[in-house]
Amino acid sequence: MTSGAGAPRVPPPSPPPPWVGAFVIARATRIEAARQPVHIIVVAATLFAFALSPALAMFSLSDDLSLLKDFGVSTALLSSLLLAAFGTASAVSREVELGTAQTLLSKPVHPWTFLAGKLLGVLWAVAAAGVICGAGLVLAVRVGPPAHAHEAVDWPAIAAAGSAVLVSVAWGVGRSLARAATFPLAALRAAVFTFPAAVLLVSIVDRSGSLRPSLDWLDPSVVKALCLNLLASALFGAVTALLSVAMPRGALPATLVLVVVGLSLGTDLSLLGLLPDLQIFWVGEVFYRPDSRIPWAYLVACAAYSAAYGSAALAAAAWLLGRKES
Amino acid sequence: MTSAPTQGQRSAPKVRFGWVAGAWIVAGLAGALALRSHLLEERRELRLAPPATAGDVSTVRRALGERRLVLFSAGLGVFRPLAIDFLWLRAAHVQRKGESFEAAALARLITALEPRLEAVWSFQARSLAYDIPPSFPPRERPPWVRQALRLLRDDGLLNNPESAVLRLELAFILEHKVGLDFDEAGPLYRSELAAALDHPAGSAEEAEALRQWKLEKPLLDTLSARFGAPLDVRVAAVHALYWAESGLALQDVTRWHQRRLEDVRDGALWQLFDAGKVVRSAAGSRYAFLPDTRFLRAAGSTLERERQKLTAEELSSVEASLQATAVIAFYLEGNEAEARSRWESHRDLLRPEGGSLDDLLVRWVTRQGEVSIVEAIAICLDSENSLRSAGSPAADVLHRLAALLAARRDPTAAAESLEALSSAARARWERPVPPRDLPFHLEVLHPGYGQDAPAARTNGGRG
Repeated sequence: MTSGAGAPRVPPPSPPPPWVGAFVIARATRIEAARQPVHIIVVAATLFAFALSPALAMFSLSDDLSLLKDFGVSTALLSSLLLAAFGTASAVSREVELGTAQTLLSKPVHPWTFLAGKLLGVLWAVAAAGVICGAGLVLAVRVGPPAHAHEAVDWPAIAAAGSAVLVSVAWGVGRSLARAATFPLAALRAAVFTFPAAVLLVSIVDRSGSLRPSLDWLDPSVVKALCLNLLASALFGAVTALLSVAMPRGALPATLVLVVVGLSLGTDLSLLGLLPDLQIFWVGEVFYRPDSRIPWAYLVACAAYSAAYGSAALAAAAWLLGRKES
Repeated sequence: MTSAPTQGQRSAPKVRFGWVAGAWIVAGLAGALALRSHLLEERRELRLAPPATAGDVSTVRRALGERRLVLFSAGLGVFRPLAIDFLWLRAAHVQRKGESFEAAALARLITALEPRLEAVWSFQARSLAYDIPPSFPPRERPPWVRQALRLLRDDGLLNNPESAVLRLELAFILEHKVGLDFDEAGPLYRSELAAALDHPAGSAEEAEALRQWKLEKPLLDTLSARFGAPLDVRVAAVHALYWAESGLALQDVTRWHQRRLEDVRDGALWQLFDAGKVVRSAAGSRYAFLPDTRFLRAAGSTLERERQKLTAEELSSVEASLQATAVIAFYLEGNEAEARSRWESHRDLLRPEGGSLDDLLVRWVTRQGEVSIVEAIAICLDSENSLRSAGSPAADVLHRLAALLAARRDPTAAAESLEALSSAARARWERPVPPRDLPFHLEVLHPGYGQDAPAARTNGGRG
């Protein structure tokens, strides 16, 4: 204002495209979500449960493997939902409460960009955790409950899983000591690579340790069910974002109640279809019926449902946040 | 003054965004609703939906079934196997200690946590039907067997509607535990089942009872037509036959299960022939099950299937048993001429060591000599009284049998001793402990059966 009439006017920097802004926010949120203690605690607890699962499935009299897959996928679903709910509630409601969201929104960042970035960041972290836990479950299924007392223990799979844990922890400790990254972040980053590597390794070795490449032991339904878990967490992440904007302090409990409601909805109660339906993503049946399968088209339809419901929730959250800002 | 247009400029995009967001929300929710309906349909087609959605059950029951299944399956995650392991260990512990009520409650919880594992339903049902009842007096045993049947029929099949395993288990318990006398409370099981389904034909009560017992009238009619006589649902063997046939009608039944289902079905057909005619006592609370010769052909047809499996000697023994039962059945029906005709035509098979029809009847009544003649006479007279009060023509046959036995005992004073024996029979039945081995199923007509009977510890007749 006082620079004088002769000074050339510097044009304000043009705002970055929304997707760039969303990506920048997502990357920061991903690191923030993965750093949270609850994140690594949930992942570690899930992996621990999978490690015990071959022994836990002993009281099924038959179909031990089906039970293991069923509760393995269910456990992975729960942990994904918890991570999505905790991550989104923390990422959005804290910023709304502290007012940092308002600061950010006063810059040329649209509420929609802000929320989409936050959600994508959390889902990024959840997907990484899903890869680790999914690989852990696949290894547990490969080890499986012994069909009979004389069955050989799958030492290659156990060794591969143990090595993945050890390498990840060692990497996390090393990076933490070098002050290059926090332990949870570094360990989780390493595990994203070591666990799938362990799966690849055991796919070329049979139970006795002989070199015999085969994927016969890998049940595609488990992999597809794990993908559905991620879609469910995406939907619930969006719903948590809406709740976080609407009631920043009660978002997490409200989301957990919604998870129970979502699991409880009888599918015939179509009047309640306005609430998010988790049963759509639950496919535990497939493990007990040899004639049942999950086609990819079903996954695509579930993704579309998750996207439709999630984007509606996100639009509502963005509209609400815009009103708060004004 | 200068701020007004700026605010106006800023509010315009917000208003537009409000409309866009509103439209997006509506479109998103509408799309989600449409996709949800499509997905629900696809889940049923792909058999991904909980099986509780199948079958003829009410919407509320279906919704509750699904809710329980999904909540227990998905909602508990890793806590489910932990709970399962704990409950199994606890159930084994309390059963060892004889705490049957807790064991039964735990069985329900275990099946709720493992609803899709057929072996778990079978195991828990067997435990309820076979392991627990022997620790109770006969009169207190029927509720346990009833609970086992309900567990399989109402809950097990709701969660596993296409399970041949559960149908086999249900048919087996009905045929073996309820239909036979390996358990001394067998007559009580049969009597209770008959009472539960004793309603006028075509009445609303009958329809309701059939619905409760999950029996479909069209299939019953089909089976009646196939086996040559109307099936009386008061007979346990009819239920066993129904579930065995229902299992055999399923697709993808393993060869092993198919054979077992056929075995149970054949056993049920023999039972229908041997004890398929229901007689209700005058008091209306006890039932007798007399031979029904209308099922002779059906029982005989089972022999054809057995021919492949049995040796010649075994087959001859089974054939002799069938023909002997046929002779006795016709005799009890009052058709002595047909009984004698069959006796003559199968002379070689039925009396390889000589003997007459009377010998066969005596052997049957005295259970190959296990029951003394005096005791057998008492049973016949007592049964005669009961059958006469029920208006059954078989009463006269029992009187003739008693006379036959009396003549065997003392040919000179047979007629005079009958009255005395009748009194002796009454005195005998008034004893607190009923006899374990009775020659046929008429004992259930006696109202005092099972009272104050001591708890018997047996293996429950497990095969």
